[in-house]
Amino acid sequence: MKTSKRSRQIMLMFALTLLLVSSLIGPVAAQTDVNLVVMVSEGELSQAEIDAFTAANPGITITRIDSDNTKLAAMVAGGEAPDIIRGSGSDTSSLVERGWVLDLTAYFEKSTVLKPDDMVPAVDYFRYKGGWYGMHKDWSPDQSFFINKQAAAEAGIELPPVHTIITYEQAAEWARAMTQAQGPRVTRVGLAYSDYWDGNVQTILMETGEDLYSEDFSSANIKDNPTVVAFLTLMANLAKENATFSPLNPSPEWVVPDLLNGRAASAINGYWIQGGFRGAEEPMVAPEEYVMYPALSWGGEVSVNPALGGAGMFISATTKNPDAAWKFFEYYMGGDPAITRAQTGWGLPALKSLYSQIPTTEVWQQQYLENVEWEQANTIQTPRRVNPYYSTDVFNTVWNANLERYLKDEITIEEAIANLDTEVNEAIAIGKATAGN
Amino acid sequence: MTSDVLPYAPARTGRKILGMSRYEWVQNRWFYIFIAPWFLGFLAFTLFPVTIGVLMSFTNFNGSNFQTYQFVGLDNYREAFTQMLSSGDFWHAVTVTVRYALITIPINISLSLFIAVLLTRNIHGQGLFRTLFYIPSIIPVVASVWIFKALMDNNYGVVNSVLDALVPGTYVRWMTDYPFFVLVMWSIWAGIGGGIIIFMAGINGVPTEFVEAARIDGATNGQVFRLVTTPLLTPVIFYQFLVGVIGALQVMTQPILLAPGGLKSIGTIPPRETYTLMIHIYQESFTRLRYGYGSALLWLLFCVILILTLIVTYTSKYWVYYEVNPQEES
Repeated sequence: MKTSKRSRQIMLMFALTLLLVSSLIGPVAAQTDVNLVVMVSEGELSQAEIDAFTAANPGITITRIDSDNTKLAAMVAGGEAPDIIRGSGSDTSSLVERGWVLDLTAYFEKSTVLKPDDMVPAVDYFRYKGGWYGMHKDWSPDQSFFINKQAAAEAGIELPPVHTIITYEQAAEWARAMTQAQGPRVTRVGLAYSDYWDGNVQTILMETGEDLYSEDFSSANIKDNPTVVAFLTLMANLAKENATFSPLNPSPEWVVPDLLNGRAASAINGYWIQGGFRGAEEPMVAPEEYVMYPALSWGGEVSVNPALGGAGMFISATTKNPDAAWKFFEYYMGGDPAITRAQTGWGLPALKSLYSQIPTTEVWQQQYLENVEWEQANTIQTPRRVNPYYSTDVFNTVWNANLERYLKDEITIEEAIANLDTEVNEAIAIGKATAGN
Repeated sequence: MTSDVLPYAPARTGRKILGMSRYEWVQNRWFYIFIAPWFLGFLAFTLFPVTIGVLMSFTNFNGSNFQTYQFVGLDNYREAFTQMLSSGDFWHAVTVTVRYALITIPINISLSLFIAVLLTRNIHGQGLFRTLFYIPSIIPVVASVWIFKALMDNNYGVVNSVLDALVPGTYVRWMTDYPFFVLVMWSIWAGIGGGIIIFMAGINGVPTEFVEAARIDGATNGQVFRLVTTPLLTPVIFYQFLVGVIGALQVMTQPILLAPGGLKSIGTIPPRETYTLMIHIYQESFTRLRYGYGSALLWLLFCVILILTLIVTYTSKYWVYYEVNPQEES
């Protein structure tokens, strides 16, 4: 019995040793290959694309992980940041300030695939303090104006020629006319838009060269800027009249199904929604019913329509394989994946040379693209300034919370705007202090 | 001296490690081996993160300033008390949370007790009714909230459709005009099932001789329930109350998921009527990127829950009756 117990102990120790050794062998064997960790969602990088890259680049393997900001922060904290990070152009300043992303200027200057003079102006979102940190995988002017021709006709609205710059006041009037209700139930709002309040405010200020933020980003001027006050008041009152979605009458989904299911008659959104239009099966309102205009204007004279951010990629500042990461970056941004993305219509390619791949089989697709090209030549396309000291989610959530209270008559619009001003500036101050500035 | 179990004889005397001799360690080695996985997991996934949370509450960490974060001492806690005394979002969140607890806990306990009493009677279909009441409790929270939302949606909800069919033109904006009511309804619908099962076990555990003795003495059904059953159920009520308090003060997932329009982004917040304390903490941490301040708020909440738990436990000696009084036993 003594021998049996002793031999069991020895066997247990042997098994544990084998387990430990085998767990070490794996990583050791894998170290002869370069493995790039790419943080991007599954729909944006297919296995076929990964296989094609690895076949063309022996010695480099790709591990895709889902994009998640919290996970990214944890990986960075643990010293295991992904080699390639998906992000928005509007993330550039904050990522650079944190030291998370690599300056790719030298790579871009030498690249024969991603040539600077082949890039659209929107790529400037990825430039910050003299460095160049990434580029869009696709982008879109995000504030074009789409309107349902039939709904407009029913409301007695005579639509102007395409390329006409329509004012917010005019669009609001149309929205009121096109809103439909069955008793207290609103069946169709006149105007839908995404909750990018800070972006909406910034772009209308850019019409006159103003800015939401101070030069050093240390403060935001909201309640003392008449344009901002007037804009927020207009949109809040539209919500009160149920002519737009609001915290009290929210959209059950998002803008593409809202338009296709007839829940909204017009929308402020980007060219990229045509990707959703293309994929729609038996929509209640056909995509060809929607005509695309340039972005709405506050003053009526100029229109501002840059991308509000645009989705793109960065290379981690701590990547152990910058050259291999750049190879993948070039492939993804200028190779077959870029061509495939351009062909889906979910956005515009960052490279002008790929514009020929954009789908234009349908008349409405041709009109949308033609409008985009007109806007690129005739509207302000300068990227908006993004404050690196706070998350713009603060602006949006605080405004939505105060908008709710305004809609319930708990506070006045002046109080709502004042609260927004206070909380945004508090968030900026705290963010600036914690960033060590 | 030899041992029947071991080939050698560990000394029963000599230096002790952690209060145990080498002999005792050897004798108990399998116990420690078997609890080691749980214990190591506790250290790694509970104690370590909790400790980090405590330390974080004394810093201005924002989730990414690993190189520039600073220790700020008690500033986060001071700010929490200042915010609580002002009339801002923090105070509002506290009032919403307390209101939610004061309403849902008594309703859940009394309703589940009432239904448990009904279900312990000898009725046809007892098993079926028990199952029907219990099903909402076993549905995962996210799924059950979505189901409830589909029922109560302003424009497409089943409830409004039925009301409109009964009284044409009826349209109630449940999710936006009465969000607190919807949240309470969900909590009751999803929460009573577990309470019913526990109360039924408690009721079935009441010694029948007590009931029979009471009936022999001429007690009515009501008197039996009030003077025999209920006192013996007080340990169960005590447990339900304690668990209810802890759960109600931490409610977060359900209000977020019930927010009209769906979970669109990390910045989604529910209507002001359901803006609970945990949601406020979540917003401070993940929207405003104030992890340090958020940690401080969480620890304050922990202290409040701990104090309430201790108070309830201390006062239980005045109203909780055990079949066998532990104090008399000793």
